[in-house]
Amino acid sequence: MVSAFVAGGASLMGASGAAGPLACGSRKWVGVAPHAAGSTVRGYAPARAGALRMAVAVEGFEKAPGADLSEQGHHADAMIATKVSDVMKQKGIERPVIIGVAADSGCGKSTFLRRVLNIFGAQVSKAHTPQGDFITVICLDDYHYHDRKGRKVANVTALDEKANNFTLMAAQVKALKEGKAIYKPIYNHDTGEHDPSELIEPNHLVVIEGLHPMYDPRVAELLDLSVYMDVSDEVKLSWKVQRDMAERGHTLENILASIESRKPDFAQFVDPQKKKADIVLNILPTQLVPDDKENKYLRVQMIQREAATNFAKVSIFDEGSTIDWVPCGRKLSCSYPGIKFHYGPDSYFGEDVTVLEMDGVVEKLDEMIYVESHLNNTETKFYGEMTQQLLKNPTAPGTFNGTGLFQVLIALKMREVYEKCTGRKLSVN
Amino acid sequence: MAFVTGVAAVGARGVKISDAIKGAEEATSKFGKGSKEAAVAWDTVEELEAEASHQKASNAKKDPLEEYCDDAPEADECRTYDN
Repeated sequence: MVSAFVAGGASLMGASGAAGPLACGSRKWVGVAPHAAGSTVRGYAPARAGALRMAVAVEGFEKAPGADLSEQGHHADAMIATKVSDVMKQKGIERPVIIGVAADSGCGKSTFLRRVLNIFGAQVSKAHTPQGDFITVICLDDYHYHDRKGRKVANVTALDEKANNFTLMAAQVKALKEGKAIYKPIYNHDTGEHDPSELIEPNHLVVIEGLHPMYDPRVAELLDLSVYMDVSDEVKLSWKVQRDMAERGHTLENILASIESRKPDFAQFVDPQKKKADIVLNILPTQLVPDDKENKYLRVQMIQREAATNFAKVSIFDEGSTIDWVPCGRKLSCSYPGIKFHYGPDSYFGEDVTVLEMDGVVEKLDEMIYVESHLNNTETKFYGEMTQQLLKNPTAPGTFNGTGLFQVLIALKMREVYEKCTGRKLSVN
Repeated sequence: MAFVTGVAAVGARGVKISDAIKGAEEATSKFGKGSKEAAVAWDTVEELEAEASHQKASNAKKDPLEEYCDDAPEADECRTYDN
């Protein structure tokens, strides 16, 4: 249960004095053009007429824009409420905050999600679409036009824009943002087919995760914060080897073939999103240890877009300076291979950014506290909160390297964005 | 729409994945390494692998204390000490 809101800050003007919640997520996105709705989707007549999803009339709901764009009718039962949901008043939702998280690892980024939930002190259901008191997490794969068989017939990967119904996605995310409930399609990863649409109510925080949260400008401009998880090829290979070698029939060659053949679509439809993301989590091989073939150690960058105004950029020592920092030495003894930080301004695909970078591992409590005490603008609510959050999931992957640390920082930024966009202050547990 | 769990499911999923891998290898040899068909087939393999991994993670046996404390964080056994 999320702790009670402090009522004092619930004015329309945000803490920074700017045009508060209205300034959140109002950025115009340019560059990636949406495809003409449905025109390039090659379909096929379903074997059974009954396979077409029939839209059932539900009181208070109307068919969603884009619901008819799936040629196989998989989205026919997608709906949007005609009025604002009662849940808004019941839960005291000021205005739903929408955060997009892009990554190529399928939905259910359990470690990152758990860290986010911990920061908000929230819990979510274990259903297809996790919903809780405070947070709802939507998997964008639900907006696939086709089922798995259909993608084979249409000869499109799930990465392809032609495989995803951005019109419906934008309409439904917008509806949630406006406080309206939706009936959202379900793509079942187990069966590779669509299940009947499910009711999703607006919530204080709605996280949309998947391959394309920022691809279509109509969806991207709804986001109050956008995060992109970028994993370098070398690390991706190691992770997949660790993940998949246990499965029958998987060889290193197969894993390589899988990565290589998905690359063109990945480069065309997924990768470009990082250029405009507010925060990019860039995961690279370490520079501290030579020949780290299994990528046991990681160098992780948190690339923060200067133009993003919804959060303060995390820095070391002083904003705008360039710092290289090795915390280990006489005062702090570190475990192998040590820790190395870099912080400084940079240019990232033509955008001004500040980069906070960590290489190595922080294994001990005093190391984490020491690091935390030297970071600025973390927006922790008490000294030690970052460390405490890291240690809440000590067995989770990445806890001791930059991935865990920066995931906690990003979750803190998500809280900051929530507070800025709603004008509310959350108290900590 | 419940997820199938248990050893049988893991076995069934494993068969699904190895079938998909075979299909991808066939598509590669038939249409070529850089072909759309191969990409689609390998994408399916990736989808199945990712889902298997998520299933495994969510079904993983939690430490009993951790599980207990998730449900009852205020319990005596779940106190944390900051020294």
